Amino acid sequence: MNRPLRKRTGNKLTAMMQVRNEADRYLEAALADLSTFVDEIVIVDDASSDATPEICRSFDKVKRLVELREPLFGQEARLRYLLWAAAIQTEPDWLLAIDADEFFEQKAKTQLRQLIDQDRYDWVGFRMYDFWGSLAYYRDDSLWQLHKRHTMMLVRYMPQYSYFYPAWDHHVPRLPLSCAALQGIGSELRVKHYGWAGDEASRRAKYDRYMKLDPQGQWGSLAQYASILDPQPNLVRWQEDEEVKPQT
Amino acid sequence: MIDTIVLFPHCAWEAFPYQTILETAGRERSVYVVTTPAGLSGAPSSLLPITLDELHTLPWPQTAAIVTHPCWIYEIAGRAPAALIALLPESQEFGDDAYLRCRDALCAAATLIVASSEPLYLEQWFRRSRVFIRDGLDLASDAIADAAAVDAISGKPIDSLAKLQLQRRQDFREEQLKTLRPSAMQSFFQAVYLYLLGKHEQAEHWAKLAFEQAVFASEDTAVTTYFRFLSVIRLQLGKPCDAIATYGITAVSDAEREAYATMAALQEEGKDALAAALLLRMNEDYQRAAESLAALQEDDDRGLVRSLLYDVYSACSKPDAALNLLGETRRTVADHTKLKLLEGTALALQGKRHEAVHAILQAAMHGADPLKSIAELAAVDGQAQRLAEGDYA
Repeated sequence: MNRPLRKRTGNKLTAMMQVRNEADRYLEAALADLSTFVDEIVIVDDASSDATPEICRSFDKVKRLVELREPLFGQEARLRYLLWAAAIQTEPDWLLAIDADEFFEQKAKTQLRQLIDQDRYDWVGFRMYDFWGSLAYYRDDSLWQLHKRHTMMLVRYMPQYSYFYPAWDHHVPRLPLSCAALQGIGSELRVKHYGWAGDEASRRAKYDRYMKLDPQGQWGSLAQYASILDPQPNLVRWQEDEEVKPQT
Repeated sequence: MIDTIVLFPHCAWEAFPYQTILETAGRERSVYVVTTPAGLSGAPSSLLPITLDELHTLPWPQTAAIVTHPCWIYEIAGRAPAALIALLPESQEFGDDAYLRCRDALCAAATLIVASSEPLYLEQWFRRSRVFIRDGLDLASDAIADAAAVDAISGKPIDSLAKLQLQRRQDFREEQLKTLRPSAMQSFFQAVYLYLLGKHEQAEHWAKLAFEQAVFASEDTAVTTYFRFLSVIRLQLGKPCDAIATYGITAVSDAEREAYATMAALQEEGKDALAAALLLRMNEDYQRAAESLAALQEDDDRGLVRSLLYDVYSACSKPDAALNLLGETRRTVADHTKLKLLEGTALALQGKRHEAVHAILQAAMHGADPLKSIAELAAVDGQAQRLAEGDYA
């Protein structure tokens, strides 16, 4: 007998994450947070030289940790495929692709189950906010508008479907391109991205790395790279929504 | 033995694209063309014009009808020619819904079809056999189509020629694909050829490639057109569970979701053959669906086989066959209307015009909508009359 294609209840949610030298950043907090609302976590460590693998192993919900000895830098599609292959071995109903510096807002953690316990949509997109310079503000200007659209992060896994990534070296989407061809839904739930929340020096380091890797803007926008150094970006204070509790 | 040919053309002889077929097949046969003498300008003197009123004088059991415009369908209806050859030039392949109903009725009635484009050629292969293409792209392939038309007029079997052309087209396309810019549609056509030829593993490869190309090109129908086709390929590969799950992934509308739920339930009950037939029908592979269902008719406790067959025959423009499936059960008003309309269509295609109109009028007893069918019949008649008078505008 086939396993049910789409289930309205009892869906297993596996989070998938690729990491590299995240020990001194948000990894521990991210895994602790994820552990409260997903069933299993699968991680591919891209040859970290710090304590990243040990941190990963310290969480019970991390069921698979693939440790690469050599980094797959510049072979991002291969890295994505590796992570995907490891994640589907957990036989999930749904997969959440999340980075080690991304956090769902509080109320999302209970609402996520409602989003996956249905048989109509096969992916969910969320609004991603780029926090800037602190954990209190996100950036909102013409080049930083990720939160104005939906980023597909959550997909139903159906073994008979064809999943494939574009064979790019950089900026490969976090989930197989073919997922977006299925019926999906955009959720208003928000995700906080702390990748830019560090100090000026860390942003300068990122800028330098992008310019070294992609000086012609082949993989990204040069204007956006330049805007990383913008001395006065437009910042908006983050308001964490109160979760609506059922009336008693 | 066929000793007479009558041509129902879509244009004057000077522009007629199938002259060689008619000249070859017409040797030692009487050849009539439903047109005016002016319409035959430049034609060999052996070709004779004939009017619509004179058609009854032809020896129909020894006559082959060659038709190049769908609007002639009701002029041929009921005459039972020995062979009916539908040669459809590209300009006559597609039109509005009423036109397509005529075209499909002609294709269903024809001994063989010669299409001019791959969309119609492949579409017809999913409905019937003895389908050919003649599109000027490959001389060898066109020669097979010409030979088939001439053979059909001579009463020879043509099924092996149809398969031969299918194989030839697949080989030709394989060469073409090496030089063409990759596209989902080109890969998909290749997958369809291979599926029709029974080369299912190769078909799966090309269907997957078509799907990938469609996704990369952000085509809206990547899943419902390209990925869905993998479901019937997987069925033919002997993977019925995967096949039905593959279809289920693509099921979006309520009707598709319901069909998937039915397939899954049938499979649970061990009725794999019926689930497979439904899968074929949902992929519009009507020919294989009909073959599967015909073999299941004796084990039809819930009437699902009959209902699916009805659906398949209706889609293939076979109203007679569909009507034969309807029993004398109690019917709703909607059922009665549908039945009478179907009867009207069947009778019109049998050449029983008065009876057809009577049936349609009965269908209109509970609403005026069916009267459109009478207007449609009249419009087709009018078009045939204009063609007969040499008005090809």
